[in-house]
Amino acid sequence: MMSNSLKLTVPEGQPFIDYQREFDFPVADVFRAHKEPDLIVQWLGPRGLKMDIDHYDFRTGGSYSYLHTGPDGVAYEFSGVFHTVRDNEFAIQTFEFGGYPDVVSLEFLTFEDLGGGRCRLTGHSVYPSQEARDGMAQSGMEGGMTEGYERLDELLSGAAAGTSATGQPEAGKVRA
Amino acid sequence: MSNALKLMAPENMPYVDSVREFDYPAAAVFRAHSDPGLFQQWIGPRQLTTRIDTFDCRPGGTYRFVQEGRDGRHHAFRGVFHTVRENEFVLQTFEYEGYPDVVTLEFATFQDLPDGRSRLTGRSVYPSIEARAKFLADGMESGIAAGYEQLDELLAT
Repeated sequence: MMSNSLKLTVPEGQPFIDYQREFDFPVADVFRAHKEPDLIVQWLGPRGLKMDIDHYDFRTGGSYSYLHTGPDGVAYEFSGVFHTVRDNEFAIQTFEFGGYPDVVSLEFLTFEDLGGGRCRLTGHSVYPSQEARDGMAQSGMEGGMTEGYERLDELLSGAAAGTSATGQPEAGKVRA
Repeated sequence: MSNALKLMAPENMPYVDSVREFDYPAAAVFRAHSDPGLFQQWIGPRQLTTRIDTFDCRPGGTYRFVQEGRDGRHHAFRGVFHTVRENEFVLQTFEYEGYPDVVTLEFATFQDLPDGRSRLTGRSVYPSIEARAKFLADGMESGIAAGYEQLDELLAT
């Protein structure tokens, strides 16, 4: 596998977080893993958290709400709305952590076909204050995103092995 | 005018902050923002007529409205309401369809003041400094100021 590590940029003095992550899977697969509730529960967030979706309607004008519950039983609620969703291409959504009510960020997600069955996900997050951005950057989000995208790789490996003759059998084991 | 719009664009930050007071209670100003029949009567600069496509002011609701100028040109705006707390707070996304995908996040806080007056405090969050500059250059300040003057006139009736 190529090195598809998460590149996260936290610009000094600007309330943004930018990131890029490449995948050895087609853009349609990575998009679908963001769109389908049954798939996103299998990879979003760090390992060891259980994700329970209240609702998740990944389309223009839709909304979402879910709980992440840690091994200690503490639950974290996240919610937002989808301003724009264009299949296999682009999404804009709001994002709110229930622990910081009204500190809402806006997330721009671009899905890009790289050819050769690979793709790139580019994210731009905009925060309502510099303090909110700094707090998010220090919350361990980089580790959580890194693990989430590793889980997404594992999920897509399993799906590829199950549906395509080109899937690598040894990569096809989905982590229990 | 005592209730003039104060608009602030902090240097090198992708925000526009605004404060506007009204000689009317927060509930009346809130209703003019959440009721489409009222909203269409005051939003935006004068000389524009506003047609509401959809306007569902509740958490998760969507809106779209189209403004037509005397030159016959149409300008459409749309977004989703993330949070709505009656007479208190609205948080919504906002997109001018002429600048596709340049979406902003709009925070609006409604606050009662003594003597039946109220204050509306806004923060617009832009995806880049460049996007903010574009909106400011487009006459955003005068458009908002004129809209609130029309809102004063509407509430006076």
